[in-house]
Amino acid sequence: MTLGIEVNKLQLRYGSFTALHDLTFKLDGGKIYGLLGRNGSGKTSLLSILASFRLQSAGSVSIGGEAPFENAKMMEQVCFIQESGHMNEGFSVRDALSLAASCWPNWDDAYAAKLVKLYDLPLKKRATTLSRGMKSALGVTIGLASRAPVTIFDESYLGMDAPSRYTFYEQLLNDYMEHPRTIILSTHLIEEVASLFEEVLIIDKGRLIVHEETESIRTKGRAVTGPAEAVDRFAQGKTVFGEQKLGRTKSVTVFGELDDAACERAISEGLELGPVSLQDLFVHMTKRKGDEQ
Amino acid sequence: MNRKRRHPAINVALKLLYTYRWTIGIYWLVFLCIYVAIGVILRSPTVGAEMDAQGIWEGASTSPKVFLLVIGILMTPLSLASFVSNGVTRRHFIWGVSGLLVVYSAISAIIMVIGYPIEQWIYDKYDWPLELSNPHLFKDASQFGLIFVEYFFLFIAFFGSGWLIGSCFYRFNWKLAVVLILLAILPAMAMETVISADWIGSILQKAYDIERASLAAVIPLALCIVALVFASVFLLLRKVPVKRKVLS
Repeated sequence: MTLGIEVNKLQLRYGSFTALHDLTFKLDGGKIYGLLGRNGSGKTSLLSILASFRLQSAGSVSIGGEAPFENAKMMEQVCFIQESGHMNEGFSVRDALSLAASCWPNWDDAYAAKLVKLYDLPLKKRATTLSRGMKSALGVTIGLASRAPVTIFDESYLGMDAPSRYTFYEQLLNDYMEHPRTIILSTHLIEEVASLFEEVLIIDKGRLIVHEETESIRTKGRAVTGPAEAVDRFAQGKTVFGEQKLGRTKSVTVFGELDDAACERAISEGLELGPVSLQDLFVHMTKRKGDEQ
Repeated sequence: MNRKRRHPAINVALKLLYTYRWTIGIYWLVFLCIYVAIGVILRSPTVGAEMDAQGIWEGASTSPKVFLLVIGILMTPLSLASFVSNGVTRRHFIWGVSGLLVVYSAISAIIMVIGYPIEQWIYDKYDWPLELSNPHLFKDASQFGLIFVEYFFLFIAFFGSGWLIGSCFYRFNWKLAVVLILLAILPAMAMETVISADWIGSILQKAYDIERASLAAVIPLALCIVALVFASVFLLLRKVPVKRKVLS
């Protein structure tokens, strides 16, 4: 089962501070989404609302056509894993897994056991005394084995070392292929996971600035390098995210649709057109005053 | 994968019962050992002469009341987030904890009930006179039903007050929560007044001449207090955000 998500004019206020400003988007079921944003941009606030961790101040959220907050039928379909987790103080790893097994309707015991072995999780150890990496491993184990139709990982694998993270990406993709569901990954490790994203949402200062297919965003961003005058001529009228200059050579990152004619003209003027990584585009899109200092 | 699943509220109650099994078990073990020791000391030939016909067990309920108050305080701050993050609604969490409240209060009340005939048997064996020194719903150790009713309502009210205090601290900032303790402790105080038993009953009845209402009125009033606790917790927690845990 896959569930779509529809968000309409969503707002979240903490007192006088507005964390989310009129977010509106629609996510089809059965895809992997990347949610990107700088620290404090509102990613966790948005995901907390989707997972019914908190109620929005205004606007609406619907998952599978129903409002999820305090809706028992929907809440057990949305698994939200955060890095810090919410383990009960006295719980051992075994207790945490047992609680999850009793709560998630699609829980897969065999898969959970496989992941426990893969991450070498100590079942008898108290969850709160685990290292940061092991806590992350426990979180992703619960998230993956829950097989919840909407599974959200919010920086939940940041504490893992690189091999463990790659194991997670591999498991996530394999399990997603076997059991399609809606997955949202919020991360700062964009380059590592970018290949998993089918669509990307970028939030900045509580506003949705991009929601597109990953490939579409990638093709819109181009690094244009060549003689400074030719680069300037080419970039005129286009959205330029950033520029670098070395002697008479200049490189700019342009964003927007480039038709074949424009590309051919650039090449004929001796310019090189190169791809821009999703991470670089994200950095440029969310750059603020003072970032370059 | 289809698994046979329990109702979420029952699941919450059972998981919490399991979580606190050692805490509760060890508490009662230590409590009983201490009370037996106190009993032995107080009934020893040197001290016992001054004890007259006073029972020991009658004064035993204060400790379990405070213990259940503390367990109640811990309920929401330690457990709400772990259940909600596992897809359980706040409503089902509240029902589950309410069930736990009833079960723990009943277990504690049953232990109190069992203590009275045991004490009576010991006193009878040594030919010591035994009388209740404070007012109670029951008149002697053989009225098991009334002993249970008295302690069950007192325990559930203290547990409930603790749950309210913990929920206030979870919902509000600590400064406001400290002030709200005064309101949260009211159910325990109200239950003590309605039941009018033990030393509070003694003060009310002897010092202020306030007679206890008839049992037909006491039980509905006690049930109202319990319902008020559950309703108050529901109002506090029904929309409470799950707080983000600070990394440790």
